[in-house]
Amino acid sequence: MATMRNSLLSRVAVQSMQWAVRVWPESSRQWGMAVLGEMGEIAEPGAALSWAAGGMLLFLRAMLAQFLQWMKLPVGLGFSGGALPSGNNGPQFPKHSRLATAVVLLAAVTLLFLPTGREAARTVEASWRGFIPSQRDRQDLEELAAKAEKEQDAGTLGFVALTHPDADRATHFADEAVKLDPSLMWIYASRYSYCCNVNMAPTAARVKKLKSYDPDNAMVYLVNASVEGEPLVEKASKATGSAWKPLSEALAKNDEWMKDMEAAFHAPKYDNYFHRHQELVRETWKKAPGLSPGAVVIGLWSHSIPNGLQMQTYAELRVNQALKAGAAGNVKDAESILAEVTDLGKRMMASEAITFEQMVGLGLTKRGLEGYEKLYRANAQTKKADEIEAELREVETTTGARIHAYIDWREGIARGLRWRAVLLQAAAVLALLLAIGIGLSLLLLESSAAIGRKSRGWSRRAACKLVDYGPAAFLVTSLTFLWSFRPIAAFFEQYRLGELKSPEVLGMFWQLFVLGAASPALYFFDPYHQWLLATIGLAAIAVFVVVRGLLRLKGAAGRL
Amino acid sequence: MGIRLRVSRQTLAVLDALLDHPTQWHHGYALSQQTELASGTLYPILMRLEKARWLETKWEDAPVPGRPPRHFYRLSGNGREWAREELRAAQTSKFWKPAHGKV
Repeated sequence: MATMRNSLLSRVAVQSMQWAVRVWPESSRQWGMAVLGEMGEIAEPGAALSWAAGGMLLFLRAMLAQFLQWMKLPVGLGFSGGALPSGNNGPQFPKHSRLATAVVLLAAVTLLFLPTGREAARTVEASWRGFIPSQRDRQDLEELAAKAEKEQDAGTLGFVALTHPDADRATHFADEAVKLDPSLMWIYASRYSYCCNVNMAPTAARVKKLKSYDPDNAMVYLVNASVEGEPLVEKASKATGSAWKPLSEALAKNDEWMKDMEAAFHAPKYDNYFHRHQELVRETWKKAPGLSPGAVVIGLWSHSIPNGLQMQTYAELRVNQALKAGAAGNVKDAESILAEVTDLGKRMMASEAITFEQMVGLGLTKRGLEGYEKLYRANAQTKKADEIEAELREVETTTGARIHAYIDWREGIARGLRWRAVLLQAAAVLALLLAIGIGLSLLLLESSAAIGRKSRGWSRRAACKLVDYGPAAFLVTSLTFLWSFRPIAAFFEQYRLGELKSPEVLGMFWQLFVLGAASPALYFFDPYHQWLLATIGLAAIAVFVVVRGLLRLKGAAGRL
Repeated sequence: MGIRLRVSRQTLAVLDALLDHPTQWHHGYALSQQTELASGTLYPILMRLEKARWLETKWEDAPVPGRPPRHFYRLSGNGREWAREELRAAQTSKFWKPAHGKV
């Protein structure tokens, strides 16, 4: 015995069994005591430990049996509660067992934890934030970048550079990506802007590299021109409002801006790199499908496009120069200047440019043609002027048709998705409210069972109803949530599989905007709706107080 | 006959050990050594036998001071009959063989 007492193993064995017996379920505690009773007879420490291990197994079985018994009781009823109370005197309990409640809740939660469920939840959650990347999105992107840096995965680093909400981090990842794969240099042109502090304005060194990377592309010169021109536009706007003349004078005085614009208007091709961007996003999203759709798509949405105002300003300057040259009798020079303007416009329209750029392209073509018409009319070349006038009308018709087609396309997406988006948002809100309501009800019923307080108040009745019907409602809501998300999920999947063309990819944005427009968060942040909700809330409280007062008055009168 | 049990080889070993001195009280550790069953296997069998009324149990009358009382077990009157019957049937069907050539 002395050996046993002195042995650490034996002490651990005895103490663990003593502890188990203390918490052993009442109904089978005698068997735990029986195992413990034998331990005084076991001299060998190893044997004592093995005996105690068997006892612990027995303890776990007893606990499991107790747990299963407990699960068969309604929520809020413990073993000490005995049989379910009958009549109207005892406290109220839910009708269904804990097991039934747990099974239905588990089914609903499982649905929401399926890959589609998680994607739906993250998309809807992003729509509530207005698709501004969350802290979790940042963290996901940082983790993705860390992994990509380790694996020397330039593509993924490029994706992070184009998606990360922090401009400094984005620039860092862009440099890393370009260092690993110089063919990703286009990243610098796809996320630049003077404004908002969220985009990276490429430094002179990066612009130089960009220009030598793709010297025939107008886009690389337009990037630098935009960066150069934005502060001038801002300054001119502050001083003189939106007047065009001071603005164009300010820009025309900047040699760097003029040089870049000239190079852009002379460049033989126009590629905005959107296709490469969306391919990079697709590849990365396929590799990391857990990324938030909101964060991924918003990266694409913030793809840079040239500054249309600056391009039109330069075009206007050139057209005026052409008309002056024409007035001075240099018709050939004037034609050559006007050709710069119309040609870039046509190149923009012919490229895989997005709708806004195509509109800018049409605007440039139109402005160039107007210049041609004025030039020919001023020089009495009526036939040429008439031909240009016909071409101009055609451009105007095309512009109108494209604008209408674009609006119809957008409206089509919105019409097809609007009610689903409303249903999706409603299901999300209801699921959230139900989850909170069920959670609080379970807490109320179980805690009142634990402290032995079994009230019969309205809160307990409401909690019982919620525990009885809430899980089934939660399951139905989860199913509705997933079903409503199906078209968007299918769209995301098609995109990841590369089955969408560039214009269709843009449709994905509109789907998300339709979803965002149905977001309940809009109602909470809008002062009108805040006022409305507060009024409804106060009115409800007032009605509740008055009705309760009347009922109490009636009750008191009845007792008298 | 009382409640029939699904009799495993381990249960048969326990019944065999209990039938060794059928009227005497046995304790868990001795049964475990005799049958070479670990406590985690032995006690669920004892629990089932007790629940089916094959087994009588009692606590040690005068436990050693400072130590928890021991639990004792022996087969009930009917339990002995049923146990013998089970052991015979198991031997006939060659499902089980006694450790020391008894029964």
